[in-house]
Amino acid sequence: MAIDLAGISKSYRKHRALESIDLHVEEGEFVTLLGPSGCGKTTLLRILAGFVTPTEGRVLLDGVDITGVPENRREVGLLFQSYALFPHMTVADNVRFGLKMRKVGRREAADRVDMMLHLVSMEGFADRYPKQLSGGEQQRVALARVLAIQPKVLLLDEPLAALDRMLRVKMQVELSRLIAEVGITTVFVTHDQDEALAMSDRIAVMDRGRVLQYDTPRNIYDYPDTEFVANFVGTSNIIDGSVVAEPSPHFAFDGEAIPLNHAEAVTAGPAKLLIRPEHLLIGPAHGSESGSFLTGRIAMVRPVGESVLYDVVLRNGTSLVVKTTRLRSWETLKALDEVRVSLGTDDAAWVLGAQRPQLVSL
Amino acid sequence: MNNRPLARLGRFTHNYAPVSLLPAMIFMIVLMVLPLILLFSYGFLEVDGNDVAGGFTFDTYAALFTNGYFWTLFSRTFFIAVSVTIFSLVLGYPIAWLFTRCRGWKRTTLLLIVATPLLTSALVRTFAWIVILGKQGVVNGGLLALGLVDAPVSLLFNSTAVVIGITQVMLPFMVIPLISAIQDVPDDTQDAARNLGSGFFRTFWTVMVPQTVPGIAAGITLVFALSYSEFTVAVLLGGGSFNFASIYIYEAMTTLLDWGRGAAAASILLLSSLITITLLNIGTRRLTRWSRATQ
Repeated sequence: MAIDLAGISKSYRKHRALESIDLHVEEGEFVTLLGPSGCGKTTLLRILAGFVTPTEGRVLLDGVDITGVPENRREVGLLFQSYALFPHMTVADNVRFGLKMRKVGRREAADRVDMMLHLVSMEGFADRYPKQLSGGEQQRVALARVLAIQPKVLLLDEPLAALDRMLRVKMQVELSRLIAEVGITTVFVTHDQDEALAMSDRIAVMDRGRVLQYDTPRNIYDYPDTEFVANFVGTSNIIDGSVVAEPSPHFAFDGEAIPLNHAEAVTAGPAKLLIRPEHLLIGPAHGSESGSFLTGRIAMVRPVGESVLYDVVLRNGTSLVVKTTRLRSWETLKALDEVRVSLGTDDAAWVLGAQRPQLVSL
Repeated sequence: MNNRPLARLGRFTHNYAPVSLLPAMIFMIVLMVLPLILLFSYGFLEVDGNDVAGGFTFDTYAALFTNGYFWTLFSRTFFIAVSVTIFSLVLGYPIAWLFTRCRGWKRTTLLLIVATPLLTSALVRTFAWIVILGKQGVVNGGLLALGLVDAPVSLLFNSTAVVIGITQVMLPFMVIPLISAIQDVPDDTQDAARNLGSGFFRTFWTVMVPQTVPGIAAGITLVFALSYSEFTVAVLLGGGSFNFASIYIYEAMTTLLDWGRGAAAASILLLSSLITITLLNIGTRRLTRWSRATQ
């Protein structure tokens, strides 16, 4: 079912938790609400689930206004971060709970419980109590329980946050697969950008009760609109300066210049430039390669796992982070070395808020 | 290492926990266990007044068990204790639930209201009930003024008065374990139940109550054991006409100076209380099997 949020606001006494949110989710779409804690994403999810009544605005499900429908009549399934399994019921009874509420016949309910446990590969666990299951197993039972009622929409409240890292990545894949298999419209809340980027059809990046950008993961990462989005998703070098059209389009900052290749989409004037650390190349200052480059000095070398980060201070004082794949020779560049920094590709530099190139539009 | 006296004492009590328990254990053995053994033995000895006059005998118990009045008395006491327990549970559960959902001054006020009976002298508290429940009392005055009854209702010096009076004192013993049990129930499980389509009462019965069974059991045990042997309230609100197990024992011991019968009745009271509590415990363990489930 398609979801429409129309002008949703929520105030708690003096605090404005949500500021007139408009959001459309297509039938079968997987949408993520991404943002730091306190941005209002959980409040928005709880408004969808019916636990919170918005101060203003309407919630529509396939065009039907459900703003006033109480939470136990909404047919909107919510998967909790804590799983919220009933500790005094077996796995099968947990999954059966919603069916009992719907007065589904005994035999049909049993069949559906079996089907759901099969779906989440927990067939052998029907008679266990939640206490006897691992976090990942509890998660799957909770998913079976919520899918058993065949909800119109599935809501996920940071369902992976309580799992350890290895399991989290595994569950990301599994959850995506299961949801795709069921084909249900899904709204997912997380503060983890990797989860959001890996699982979503679209991401709504939220901050302080507003949606800053609502777009595909690709556009959110590669063509963010604002500095907040750029910083929240991935790591960023953001440079203050201005776009100059003549003689050739470039971005000027403190006496340095970076050529722009999508200048037709940008108006000249003050702007912020985004360069992802992985889009920069770094080499010794007296290298032989031609082309435009910036020169600076390495302030710090940070070998972090599969990559090496170089903190470079340019001649004009601007700091840049450069991320390179960690090769065994990474120690050839050391702190205080003079280096050249250049763009890895022509389109590496992105002026925030610029119009996206046509080929990536929706 | 910290060598302040308090820290040293802490380490000492930690390392020698059994030793540091010794004073309390001696206290308990001398003042609790020994008197209990004496009490039991008095019931099986030929006793004249409060002196042991002869050897082992079953006569005291035989006399009690064949006495119809004794059975009526004990079953009434049991019935009243059970009623008090049920009323405390029914009244206490919402109070405990409300308590977990209040913050700040509301919470303090609620706790104060519940705990006041415990902090008030039993005499003052009970005489207040006499004022309230008497023929010219507040309740009857109200009922008469409203025209709901023609003549004053008999509320005092009967089992109704005793149940009301004991319930008031017992409420905190029910509420306090319930509060901690209700606090242990994750809010999410109730939200999940609502999300799955369960209404308020359904959620309460199928999700909330089962998870608080340990607290309910603790409260029931405390309230039952205490009200089964309650004395002051029974004497004052029951009046002379009302008899209660503890009053019976008291009279046997002090008025009639029949220590043998008093000891036997007290032993029966204690044992029947222990048996009831044990049965309760077994029932609870069955209901909470889920909480002890292991891989």
